[in-house]
Amino acid sequence: MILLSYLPIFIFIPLGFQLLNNFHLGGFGIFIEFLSSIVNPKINIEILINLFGRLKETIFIAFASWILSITFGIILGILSSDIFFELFKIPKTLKIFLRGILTILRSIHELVWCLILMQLFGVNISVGIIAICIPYISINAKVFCEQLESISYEQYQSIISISSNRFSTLITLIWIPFSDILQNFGIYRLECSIRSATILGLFGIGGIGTNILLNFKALNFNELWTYLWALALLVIITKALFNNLKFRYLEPNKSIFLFIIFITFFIYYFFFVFNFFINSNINLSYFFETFTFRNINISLNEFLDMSFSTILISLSATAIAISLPPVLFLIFDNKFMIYIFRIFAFWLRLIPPTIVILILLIFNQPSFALAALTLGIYNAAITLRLLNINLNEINKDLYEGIISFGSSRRVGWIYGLFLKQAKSYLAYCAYRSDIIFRETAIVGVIGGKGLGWQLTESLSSFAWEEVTFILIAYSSIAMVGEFINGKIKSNLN
Amino acid sequence: MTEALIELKNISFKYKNSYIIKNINLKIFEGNQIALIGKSGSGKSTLISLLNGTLIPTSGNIKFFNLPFHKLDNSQKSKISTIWQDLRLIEDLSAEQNVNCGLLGKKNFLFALKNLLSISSYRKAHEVMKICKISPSIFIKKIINLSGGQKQRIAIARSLIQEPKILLADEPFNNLDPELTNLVIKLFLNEENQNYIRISNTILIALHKIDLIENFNRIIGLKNGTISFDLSKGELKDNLLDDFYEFSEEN
Amino acid sequence: MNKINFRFLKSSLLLFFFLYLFSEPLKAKEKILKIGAIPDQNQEILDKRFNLLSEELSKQLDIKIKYVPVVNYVAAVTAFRTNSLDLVWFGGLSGVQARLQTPNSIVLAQRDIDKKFKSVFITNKKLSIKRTTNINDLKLLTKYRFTFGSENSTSGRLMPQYFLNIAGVELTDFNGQTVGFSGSHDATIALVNSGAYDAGVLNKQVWDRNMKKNPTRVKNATVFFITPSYVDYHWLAQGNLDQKFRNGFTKELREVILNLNPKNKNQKLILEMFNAKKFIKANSEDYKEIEFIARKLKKIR
Repeated sequence: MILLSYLPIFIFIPLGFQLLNNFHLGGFGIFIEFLSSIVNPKINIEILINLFGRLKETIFIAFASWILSITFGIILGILSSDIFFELFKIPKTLKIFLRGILTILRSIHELVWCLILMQLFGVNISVGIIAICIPYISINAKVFCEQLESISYEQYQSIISISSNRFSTLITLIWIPFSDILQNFGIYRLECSIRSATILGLFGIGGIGTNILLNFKALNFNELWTYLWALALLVIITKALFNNLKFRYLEPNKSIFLFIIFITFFIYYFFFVFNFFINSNINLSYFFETFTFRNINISLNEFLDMSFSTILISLSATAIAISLPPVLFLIFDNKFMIYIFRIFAFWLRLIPPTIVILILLIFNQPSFALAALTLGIYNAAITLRLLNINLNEINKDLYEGIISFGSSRRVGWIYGLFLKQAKSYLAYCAYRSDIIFRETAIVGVIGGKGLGWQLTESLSSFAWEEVTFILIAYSSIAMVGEFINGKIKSNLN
Repeated sequence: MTEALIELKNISFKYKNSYIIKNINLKIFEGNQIALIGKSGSGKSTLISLLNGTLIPTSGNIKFFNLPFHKLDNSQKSKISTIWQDLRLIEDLSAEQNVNCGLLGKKNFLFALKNLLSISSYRKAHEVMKICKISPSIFIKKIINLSGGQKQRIAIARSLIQEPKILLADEPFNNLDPELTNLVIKLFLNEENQNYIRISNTILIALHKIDLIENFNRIIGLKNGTISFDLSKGELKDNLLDDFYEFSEEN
Repeated sequence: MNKINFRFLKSSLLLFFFLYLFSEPLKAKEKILKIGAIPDQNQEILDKRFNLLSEELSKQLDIKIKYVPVVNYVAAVTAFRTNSLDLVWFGGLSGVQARLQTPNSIVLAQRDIDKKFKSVFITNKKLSIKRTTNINDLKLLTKYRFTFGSENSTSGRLMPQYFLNIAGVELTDFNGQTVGFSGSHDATIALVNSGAYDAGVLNKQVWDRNMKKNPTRVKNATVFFITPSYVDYHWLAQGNLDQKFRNGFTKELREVILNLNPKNKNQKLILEMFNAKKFIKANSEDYKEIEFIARKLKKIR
């Protein structure tokens, strides 16, 4: 277990070698300027007005996609669960079909959905909302569905033998698992939505991301940091507001109040997006007319090469995300350093990986290692937070016991603390690597390598055949990844 | 002759290549108050699961209200109530919510929703809980925080509020002290008139202790998955019982 | 007391948050002429330029006009195809792409300078490479890290790549086997000036303007080679503007743009921001060569 968590750190050796090879000091000045602007954001009335306008768009996209994806995620989560099919006696083939569709939907990153939908519908806030919703609904549905597996067969039997109404049975059984998951996972998804809305902004959908990218491209670092700080505040404030909501312990009238608010928002957002759909005049014939496979300009060799490097980026990034946090905790075992890492990790989670890779590109050639490193470190920031929370929650007796034998604190940490956590940590990492496989698209699109680069090139040449081809490749890589991870996870449990 | 409420014909149940229930024939009529006795492992719980339709027999026929199980509609199914040996309460809901679950067979979806949101409280549930000696202070406590005896009484209350035609109970006195056991037996046998609920006059209770059986009007002995005897109260002789238990102890 | 205040604060904050969200208006169905532009320069420059132009057009044509910023070239082409933009300032390549995808669109005008447009290859001064007029000297750049502007820029990518090909240079020949795409002309200057890239290529107009107005921004960069001339930027309008606004609207719009006059104070400012003396007539025939090159370089399929 420990070996499994620590061994992947050696991926740094080949990656570091490639990075050093491509490193140059040319952009050092810009980087210093970037760093020194952290404490010196530019603030004036004009920027503030702009900022609030942009912030509003981001909040709108994030909140709408959150509410829509949670609601539809719940519905689809129930519809694809074993218990639903058992209760309503629906043929199992339908379940396999539904789950298959959901797997395909989530195998493609929201950014890629956004790029496609933008081609179909043009640039619009609703496009951003839909793009985030598609994979999010599917991810939520999967998580909710997995949570429903915690309902025991005994409980199911006892309620079904009492109840005459299947819907009553269903809601009584899923109530507790659902309020649990809404509490933990639901609020976490809001944070994800904000992050995704920002990333989509980087690709033109509007909101704060758009300004972050524009300011970065213009190298206006002071203004860039104004927006980054605003984003940080937004995440912190939303978290503070929603973390205190404990759904299960709410007084009934309060939970009804919340429920009504939720439904109102849902209806409002639903019609907002629906309205857009009705009013948009999408011209599909354009796509069919130009769609000929003769136009594909990628040789099989190139294609395999790109797919291979995409997989390699994902794997290396996963390795970093798994092993970096435990290594850091082991090397720096004092509270102060861990605090520093946590702040660092917070910023890493906040700054879209796209911007991170742009910053790194200032003094690095685009390379495979750079993409892997960016993605890896970004995800390590997330696993680090999880590991830290888990470590703080567990009982420290064993750790103290081992230290009292006279072992070093580091040995104590490994055997007394980390070993207890390793299993659930690795299980989470397996889930995380699903996400990493999807996210490879983002870094690829911006500056690394792999299929992402080809995707931008094909999109900018409006070569739909190539785009389709690449999407199928992306989707199959992610699906194979998810399949393997499913096996790993079930072995871990 | 009256129709049997539940009729078992040549029922066998096989689990992992060994028969747990072998070739049982049984008719349960209205008014039967049956004590099902037998050592642990004799197949009592399995028989109860067969009687409430949870398990499907490997061979043989069961008829409920003269219909096979799959032809029953849901409201007919909910007329058979079970107190499970492992209780099967929803651990994270409160005591009152769990008792209300017993009403799911009669009420609509809105009731289920209201119950989960704990918006309304039902007088009936309160009364049943009072009958079962559940103190109001634990109404809102979660099951997970209650003692074994408290949980047992909540499971009983959940079944009683269902007002079933047939009540099946698997060792319902497990966690109860003698005083409460007596009270519950009286409840089951409807010896005290209740104003708020109608208690079924057809019950089947699995017991492993024989000291309670004089309260019942029909006693069935189960041994190694077959019915060893099926007698009315008057027919039961002490030596028969002794034989039954001695014999099984030798096994 | 303190606790109550805290709760009050929290709930009012929540309320404010929700109201804020609700205030996002559903799309107004007003008739607005939406102007867009390819993001070839820093957004603040574009904002100023096109907001000023919008005001002027709005005044003369008596309609509502909104300038909608776009993040990349592809988005501008798409927005035009999906009717999200009515009038767009396109580059040569993006304009041709847009026209192929939106067949009934109309080329309105171009600047006087667009008839003979040029790109300029620049290098960081530290490299101390001498300026040249021989196109074959572009081979010298392959030793270095090189950046284009945007992927779909005519002056920042398409034509420079074409000239590099003439000199026998492929994109994979550069240091690191690849080239960068800075995203805009200003970004190219900044990246080469700082040394993040050794060399780059951009629109000569933007270079000249920076030399004049922002000498510090270009102090570490120097000209290496100036390309032969070609046609570039133009205004492209949707074909349905007459139906949308009023009969003859497209013609009026073209007249207003063509008649922008440096004698008027406001109009002079606009023309200055476009680096032009005036706008002149243009038609789609002018861009045949661009289309030919774009097809050759697989930017148009």
